[in-house]
Amino acid sequence: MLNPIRIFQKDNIIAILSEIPIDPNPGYMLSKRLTEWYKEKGVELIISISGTPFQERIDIDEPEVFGTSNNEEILKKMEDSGVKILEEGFVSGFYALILKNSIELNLNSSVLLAQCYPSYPDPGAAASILKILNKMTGLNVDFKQLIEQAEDLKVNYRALMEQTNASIQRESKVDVPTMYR
Amino acid sequence: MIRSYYIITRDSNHSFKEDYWHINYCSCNNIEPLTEFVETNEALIATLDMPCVEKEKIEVTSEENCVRIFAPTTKGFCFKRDINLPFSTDPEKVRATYKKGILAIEIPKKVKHYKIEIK
Repeated sequence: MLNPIRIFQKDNIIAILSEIPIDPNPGYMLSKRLTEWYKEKGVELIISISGTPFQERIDIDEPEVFGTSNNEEILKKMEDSGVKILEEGFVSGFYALILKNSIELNLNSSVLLAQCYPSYPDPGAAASILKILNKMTGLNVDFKQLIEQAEDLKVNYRALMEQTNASIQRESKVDVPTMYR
Repeated sequence: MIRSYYIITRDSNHSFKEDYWHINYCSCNNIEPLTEFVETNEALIATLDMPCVEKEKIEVTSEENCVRIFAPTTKGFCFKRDINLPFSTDPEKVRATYKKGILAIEIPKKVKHYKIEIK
């Protein structure tokens, strides 16, 4: 039996994986506690990985990765790694809470968002993110399997995507400020 | 192999509650593909995520108030979905394309919007 949220560690890298969508209510407390835990561990940089839905994703062969950070040096590093820095806009959800809490606790934090399908698992978007991560952190994660086994992964993660879609619908509607429409 | 999730939670009475997440089974070995709908004034566009499917084996059947999709996969199960339409369509004018594992179906509306002249 596996815990759906798992923490992995190797050398100086900690990775947190969630196989379930995080609902907004517990997400608030979880993000607060997680950020406090990062502070206790003396984390140098937090990299949150997510996607930004793109209706025309089917026409894109290699999704672009957008990002933002609360630190100018990290922003420059992200840009050098091929990330398109978000000039304006807003981030919502769990990773926005991580970013907000990181600012309060004086931790370096960043968010990477790959163009992805709105409602389907997207191994291609995950591969784009990993390419960027490899450049940013000097890791050498092999993402070829993600692309070769994309179809199988889409089948295996279908149930998780269904629950994620249900969770998104349960979130309260965000009133988008007029200037960002 | 399709994953299923089995979650045990504790409710306010401190008794354990079991939740079982399962895939929507239409019948034995059939599952519904993840589907998205976009509606315009002229048509309904349905996009279905159908990986591990060969284009030649997809069956799309259109009727006046329903579009039926069936496709066997290379993994031993089948995708099956009946889209019941809230409007009437001309079955011969329904169009479908399959690209990168996504089936897109354009279902035109029979009754279009007319601008009424006010005298």
